[in-house]
Amino acid sequence: MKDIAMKALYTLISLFVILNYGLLLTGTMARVRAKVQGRIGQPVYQPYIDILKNNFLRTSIYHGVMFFLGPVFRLAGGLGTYLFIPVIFGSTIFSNFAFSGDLLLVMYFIFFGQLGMALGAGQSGHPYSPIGVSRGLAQMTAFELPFALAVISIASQYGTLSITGIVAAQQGGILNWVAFTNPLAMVAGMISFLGMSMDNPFSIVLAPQEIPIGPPTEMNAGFLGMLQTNRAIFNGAKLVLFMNLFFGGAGNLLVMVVKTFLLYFYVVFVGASFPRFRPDQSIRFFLGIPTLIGIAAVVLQMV
Amino acid sequence: MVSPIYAIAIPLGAAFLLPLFEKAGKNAAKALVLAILAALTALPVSWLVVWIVNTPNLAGLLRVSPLAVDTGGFPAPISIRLAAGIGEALVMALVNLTAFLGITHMLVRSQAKPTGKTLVLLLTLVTGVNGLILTRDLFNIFVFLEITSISTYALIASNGSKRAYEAGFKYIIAGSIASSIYLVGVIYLYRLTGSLSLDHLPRSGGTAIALMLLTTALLLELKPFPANGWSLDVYQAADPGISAMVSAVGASGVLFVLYKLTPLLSPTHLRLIAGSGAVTFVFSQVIALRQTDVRRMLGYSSTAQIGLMLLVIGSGRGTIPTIVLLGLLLGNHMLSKAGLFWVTDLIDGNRTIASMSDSGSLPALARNKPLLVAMIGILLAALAGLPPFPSFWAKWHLVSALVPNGRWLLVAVVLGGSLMEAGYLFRWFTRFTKASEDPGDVHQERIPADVPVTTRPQTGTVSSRSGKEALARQAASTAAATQATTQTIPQVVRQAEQPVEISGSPVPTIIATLVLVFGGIAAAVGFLAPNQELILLVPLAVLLIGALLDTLRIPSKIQLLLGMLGIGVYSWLLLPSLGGIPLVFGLLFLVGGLLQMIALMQRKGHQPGLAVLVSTLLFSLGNLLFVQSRLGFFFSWELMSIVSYLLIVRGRAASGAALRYLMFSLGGAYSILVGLVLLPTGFAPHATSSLWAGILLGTGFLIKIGTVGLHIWLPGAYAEAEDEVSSLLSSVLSKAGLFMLFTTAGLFIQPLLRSVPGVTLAYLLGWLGALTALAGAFLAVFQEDIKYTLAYSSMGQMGYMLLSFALMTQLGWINSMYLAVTHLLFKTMLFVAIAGVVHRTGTRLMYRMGGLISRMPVSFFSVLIGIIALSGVPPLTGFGAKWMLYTALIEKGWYLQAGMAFFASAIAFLYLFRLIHTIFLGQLKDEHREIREAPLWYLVPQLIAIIGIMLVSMFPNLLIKPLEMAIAGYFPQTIAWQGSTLVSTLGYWNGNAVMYVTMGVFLVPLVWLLATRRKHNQKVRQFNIVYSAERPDRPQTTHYAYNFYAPYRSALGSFLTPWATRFWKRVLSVVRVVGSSTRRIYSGDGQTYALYVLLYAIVLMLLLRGGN
Repeated sequence: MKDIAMKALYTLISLFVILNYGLLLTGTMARVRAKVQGRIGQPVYQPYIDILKNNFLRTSIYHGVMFFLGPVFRLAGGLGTYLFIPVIFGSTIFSNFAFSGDLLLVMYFIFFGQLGMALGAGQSGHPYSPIGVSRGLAQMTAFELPFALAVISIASQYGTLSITGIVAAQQGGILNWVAFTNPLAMVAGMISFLGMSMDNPFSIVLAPQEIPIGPPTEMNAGFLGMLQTNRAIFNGAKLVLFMNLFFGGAGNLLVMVVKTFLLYFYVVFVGASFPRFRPDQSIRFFLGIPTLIGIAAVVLQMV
Repeated sequence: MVSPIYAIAIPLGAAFLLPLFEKAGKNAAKALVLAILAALTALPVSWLVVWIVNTPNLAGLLRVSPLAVDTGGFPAPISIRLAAGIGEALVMALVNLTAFLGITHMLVRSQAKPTGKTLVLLLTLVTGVNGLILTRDLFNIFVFLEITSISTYALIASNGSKRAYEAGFKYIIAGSIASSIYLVGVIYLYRLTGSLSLDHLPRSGGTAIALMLLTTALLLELKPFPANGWSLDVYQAADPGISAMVSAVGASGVLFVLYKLTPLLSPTHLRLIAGSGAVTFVFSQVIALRQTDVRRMLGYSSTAQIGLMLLVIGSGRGTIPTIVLLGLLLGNHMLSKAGLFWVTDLIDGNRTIASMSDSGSLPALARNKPLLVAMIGILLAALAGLPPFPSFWAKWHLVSALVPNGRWLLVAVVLGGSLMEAGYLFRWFTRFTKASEDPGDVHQERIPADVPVTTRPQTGTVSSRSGKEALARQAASTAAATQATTQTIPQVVRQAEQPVEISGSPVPTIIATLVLVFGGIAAAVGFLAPNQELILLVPLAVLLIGALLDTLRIPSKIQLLLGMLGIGVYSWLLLPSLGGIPLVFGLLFLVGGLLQMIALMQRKGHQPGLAVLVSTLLFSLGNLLFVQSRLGFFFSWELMSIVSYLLIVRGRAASGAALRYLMFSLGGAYSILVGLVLLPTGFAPHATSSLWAGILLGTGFLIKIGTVGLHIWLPGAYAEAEDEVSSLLSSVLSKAGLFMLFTTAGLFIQPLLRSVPGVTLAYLLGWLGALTALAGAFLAVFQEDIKYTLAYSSMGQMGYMLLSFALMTQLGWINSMYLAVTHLLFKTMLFVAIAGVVHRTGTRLMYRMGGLISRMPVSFFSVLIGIIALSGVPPLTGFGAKWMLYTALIEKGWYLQAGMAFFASAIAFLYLFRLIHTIFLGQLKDEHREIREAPLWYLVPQLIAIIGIMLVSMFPNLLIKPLEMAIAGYFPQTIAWQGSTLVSTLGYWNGNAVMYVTMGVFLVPLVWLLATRRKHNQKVRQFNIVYSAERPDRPQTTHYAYNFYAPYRSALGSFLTPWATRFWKRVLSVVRVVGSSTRRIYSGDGQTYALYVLLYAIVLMLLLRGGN
């Protein structure tokens, strides 16, 4: 009983940390983007305001049960993904529920929220939602391929699929990181990461500037708030995952913050520098060079 | 015993006396003829009965001393000896029975009844054939040949039409040439040996030329390709009753004479006979493929069958005596061919609808005359050599005799020709029995006419303007379309109900059919009894009982209940005796089958064939679980194929798809046949053996699985079958191939090359599996028709099972079976839920649906669980399969296959989302506002499957541990359990914990939303959205569904080229071209035909030189 209570407490701490970190990171990066574009930009705490505002709006419009459940699925997906990843190497508090499964579980749990969200948005009947979903899913299938190849390469390199095991194998100096021991896998993985983050040049899925497209189209109030909460957590989870896979994980919170900040900065840097792909272009992109790099990484492990 | 002489004396005498009897009254003459034929049939039967009673076994029966009569009281070389052994008795019985039935048929039909003259000629023909069979004297054979020929010419011409005269005349020319050659041969032989008695001729030395002439003449009489143009016009021009007699009775005598000659012939002669038979067999089949006239097609088939029997005579010793083989083939051919000719006579009294190309005028027989259709089906199945008919057993023994002797060319000829024969016969079956509503072939994608060309997916992008036009047009036509869908069905029924006249009595045909059926069953008992495998006949018994219930028009619900009861009892008795892998698949086949049958209970009234075929299918799947002998396995496998074909063909537009299914199934079965014969130690589980056995058996099983490249049959069969049947095919039947792979796994583990030990057949299977998974997923993404999506999805899932199986590791095998079991559950949910949707909406096109979640919530839930379980998203069962798959693949070092499998599973998300979105989400269509939830009988199996999926998701060890035990001992242990955590060498997975965490993280936001926002949550109506700056008022304008993944299509470009489809189309067109160009040698000109006959004789003689 005590064990369970402690686990619940640890979980809450872990979630609290990632939520706040994720929100602050989002706010910071929004300011970075603004600077690049010569604007002052929003305050760093703007994401908090958005979420609070959305959660206190007068009406939450919904179109049916599935619509109602969509954001729930999405947030559950984000939470679950995060909770199946060990965040800090060697820490009990931040080990989360990593004992439930290995890397494969995390890779597939990412889909949980996406699928549920897509279904919820679909019930709105608004055509922009499924258009966004169809683009998003199509792009997802393409960037998952190099990512999967990178993961396979790492798994065969270290003989394990356990995230803790992979992090453990990278300890003992920067040169032990996958980024240096298996650079091809890292390159393939990090290109996929761009797609996964849905920033430029792979942002057509959300098309944020011209017309808001994709699942958030018809979501408002509490539903939108939930999506925003999820975005912070889910982003954090993905950053932690990639940090663990390619950059040696983190022994404490500070290292985690630095590493994930730089990872996110890389996404924003690329996003600010490149224009946007059409969906078919981005699919073709991912199935081209990144996939070949991924195959090369795998083949190198075989010989 | 009665002397054989009466078999000649009575009909001959009666033929002369018949005009006198006619004076006494027409009916007296007819009665006399029938009585004589009945007596002639009874005569050899009486001999057979006496012999069978007096001899204990087959070997003794074959050695029984023949009844011999020497005419005129002199001993044999001086007089003519008639002898009747077991062979003679058998063939005579068949000939006279067929003749009896044939004459009865002609007498009882309503038009063109035979005149007295025709009856005389028929009796003469029978006399001639009986004489040919009985006589042991070569000159006497010539006499009977002439009697047969002359009566045949006259019979053909008796039709009175110009074409018939012409055909008869051509027959005379060719027949005369053959007779002359025969006569010259007889003269030679007499000059050389001083004797013409078959019993007294020397067995060797100096008679080569004479025998060569005799052989040539007999071959010519048997209409070998290409010197047979003269005979084919007969089938088309003559009265079908006469054609039946010529085809079935006439040739049998000559064939038997050739058989009697074989002891005298040298191996060269025999090889030549076999070669001539093989050429005739294969080319006749190729040409028959291109026939549009049914009777001409049957004519080619007759020629081909004769060719096959020549091959049997020429190919010498086999595992069973030639005469048994010949008897099986001959009896099968005579009864089925004659039966089919009579059928064309019955349904086409006016000779107007025999052409297959004119499908518009074909009557909807299936709806009006189910019994007649069943009869046609039986006759065709017998002709095509399907179990349990006599030719099936003959085919097995023929191939078993040819393969060990390395006569591969003949094996290829026999099997290739049989495949083509099945093709054209069953094409005719589907065309002829189904109503004109069936287009005959299926389009891969059903794009309706209201979608403009520019928006069709091939162009990649949607032109916005025409897209809008299309939407507008579509909206305008919605109302019309709904009306149309409700109206077309009655129209079809009206068309179908045009009366089908049966001209005459079908009784003789029915008798022929029954004789075939019982002959087949007797053969089955005879061939299966030595291996103590009579229990394999249970499916046949089920089929017979079911057919009886169908005849009594018992409602389908009762029949299904009886079937379920039967399967329940059968499972109860069978399953406890099984263990390991067979037990897993036994549960899958039988319990899974029961689950499927629940959905069928929705059918109202009497559905001919449905319940009986489903039950038979499940029983024949049950056979596979315990069968031990090779023959028993092949029998069960073929039975399963034909029954499933009959189930598929019931679909409303399934004729093309069913035919493809049959062709691929039979092709696979023939591959299996040769593979089985190659197995050295009988068919035992995990027998290790030669590479070729592995390749051939593997190919057969892969066809059943629907591996990429061999999958052409799959989408159509799954999609066009009736909706509940699709579920059965996909969730249960598709696992048969997988089970057999498990059973024969030992064949796939030896290296292909000594130098590369890693490359085994299993390694290739692994790649095929990965490719199949990917191809299936990609093909499913771009379908507009929901059933095609599910069909391709099944194909992809089978790919994963194949890939896991091919790993040959503990985790791989567990996963393969885990997938098989869960696939059964979630595909049942998906297919049956979709069956309900199609049932309610009346369309299979996804973009015609939308928003059905509000009308069919249970179906939605079922599909939701189904797609989550299929996609592999935790916490449901699918993730377990993915986890085991990737872990096993990486453990084995199959990294690239793992990458491919991962890609395939990502692609699967695309079609799964599309499926659930376009049907259940988005905008509800106006015409669907009032529809109800799916019928209860559909919901029950779905709910059972959902419970199953949830249980296994919550407690994966409930399924994984038993599977682990089922394969215990085959492989080194690579997994371990720590509590409910499954630990592999690479990672770990605790399905239980995942489920709890997921429930936790799901409930927290849900409770939050419900608790804090309860007062604020507000549900709005369907059109309460803003799109294009306006509130939409028609669902069609805002339901995003058609060509859902257009960008993906354009991104992939030529990658999506259907190479496999293209390849098989090429194969088909090459066969067709060969068929039509070969057909050109038949100019229709009598002189040319005569020239062919002469040239053929000359070529044969050149080939036979020195054949002593």
